[in-house]
Amino acid sequence: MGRRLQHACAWLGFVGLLFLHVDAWRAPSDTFRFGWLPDELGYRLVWVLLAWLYLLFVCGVIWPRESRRGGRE
Amino acid sequence: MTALQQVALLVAIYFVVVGAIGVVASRRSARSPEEYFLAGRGLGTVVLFMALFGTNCTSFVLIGIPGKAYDLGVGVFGLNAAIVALGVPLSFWLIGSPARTMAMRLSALTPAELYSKRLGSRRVGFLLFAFFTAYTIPYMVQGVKGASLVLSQASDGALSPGWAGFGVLFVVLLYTSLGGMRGTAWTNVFQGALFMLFMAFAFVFMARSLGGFAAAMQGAADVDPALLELDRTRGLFEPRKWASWGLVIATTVIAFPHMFARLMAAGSDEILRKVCRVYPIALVVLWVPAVLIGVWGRGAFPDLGADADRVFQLMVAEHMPPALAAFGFLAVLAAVMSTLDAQILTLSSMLLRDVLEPLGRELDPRTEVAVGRGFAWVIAAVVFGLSLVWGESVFDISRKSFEGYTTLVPTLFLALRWRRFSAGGAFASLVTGNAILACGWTLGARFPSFGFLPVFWAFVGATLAAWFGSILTPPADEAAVARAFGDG
Repeated sequence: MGRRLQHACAWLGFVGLLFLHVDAWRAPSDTFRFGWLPDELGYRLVWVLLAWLYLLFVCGVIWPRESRRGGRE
Repeated sequence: MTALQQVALLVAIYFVVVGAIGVVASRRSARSPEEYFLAGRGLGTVVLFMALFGTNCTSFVLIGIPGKAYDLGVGVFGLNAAIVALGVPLSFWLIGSPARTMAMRLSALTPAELYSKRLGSRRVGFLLFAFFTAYTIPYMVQGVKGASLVLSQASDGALSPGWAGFGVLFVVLLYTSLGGMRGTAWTNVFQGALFMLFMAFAFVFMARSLGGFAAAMQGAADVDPALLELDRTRGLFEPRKWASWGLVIATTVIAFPHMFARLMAAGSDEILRKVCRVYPIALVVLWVPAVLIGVWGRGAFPDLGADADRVFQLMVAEHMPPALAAFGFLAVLAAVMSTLDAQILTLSSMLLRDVLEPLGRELDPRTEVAVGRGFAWVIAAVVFGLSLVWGESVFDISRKSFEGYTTLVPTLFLALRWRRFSAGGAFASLVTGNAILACGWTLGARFPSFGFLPVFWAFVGATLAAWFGSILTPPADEAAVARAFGDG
């Protein structure tokens, strides 16, 4: 993956996560998943999982390249 | 053994352990200011992670968050924890990583010293020191207040909040002044493990005591079904306020000078990256129990009203085995102390390096460490005095500190990422952001915020002022900029 594409992915991921965080389009729900997990909490936990995957990408691809260029390694 | 004796014994053991860690660390930390204030810039992955996480988590998480979840429900997780899980690691990359390298290049030991040298302006250092101190002292006060209340409650009132606060500060000072950064980082490993393990155990035991996860949730739903959903018409859940608070809670952490100093002590960029990979998981492990204990507590104790902050202690006392419940207040104590030590160390180092030395007081390295220790005691005395007279709630005090720190972020970021950023830009940004925030606090509902929190406009104002200020004022000396960015 080229540097431009990596940066495009990073920006796209960041904006996507912000959009999913400020989720004004979602209707309130009082249902449970697995009989005990409120929908709202389940949604946030999935969001954190996506954020974590995003961070793995940043920490594994973007950050090391930037550190090498900036003489930080 | 009575409950009071049990509490006294546990506190004594806990204090002996952290004191012993401080003594062991002191054998390695008194050699030079760099060793004392930044642990020789060599913290490894585990110690750095626990030091950062322990510093990040205070009574705000263990008392304030269950209290908020008691009132507002599971939405508190999305409001705070989720965006922090993304924002904090990103800020470690965007600000922490270049700050660590630049601080090494410029031989800076404190956050304010780093920016003063990068921008070639002692006045910027003074101003940053002033804002860091102005927002850190109240944050320390809320920690002492929270710990002293819990300790006083645990002793059934035998220990007054004043004496409890004094005891907490005294022990923190002991190991901080002995062991410096290395001492506080090592104690944070012990303290962080203590409060994370306790929360995990508390989560499971409380659910079992309430009849299982489903029954615990149903108990809360029976009292108020809105606790389990996100009502976008309520307070900070309203979309524009939600977005504003997300900005605050995601960016404020990097502007804590005590967190910033720990990032400067990281051994390498790779170590920082490892910390970032683990951070979101640790946040979930700590915050999910904190929020759900508050929500379940609403079902178990529906009439707490304005005393919602007591829900954590009540749930521990009622729904944990007695032998484990005694550790509940130790967990709070550990969370508070792991933040207080870092705050005391960082403020004392800034007082020394950013105020005393620029005023012409050149000290030899040993005297510098000794004076740093003396300043730590002075700062603790001020915090103790304020904790006795400050009347606001723990959450309100924390919130003002968080909003204040957020106004510093544009300066902290741009100075590391934009070569043209100047001392004039930093001045304009810091003054504008804080002036807007002060207006918001003073005017309250009369502030024209268009649905956002005033801190959102303070952040926007600080960013614009940084840009205009830098364009309209002379750049920093090119040689100094080149040295900071490692050219050649």
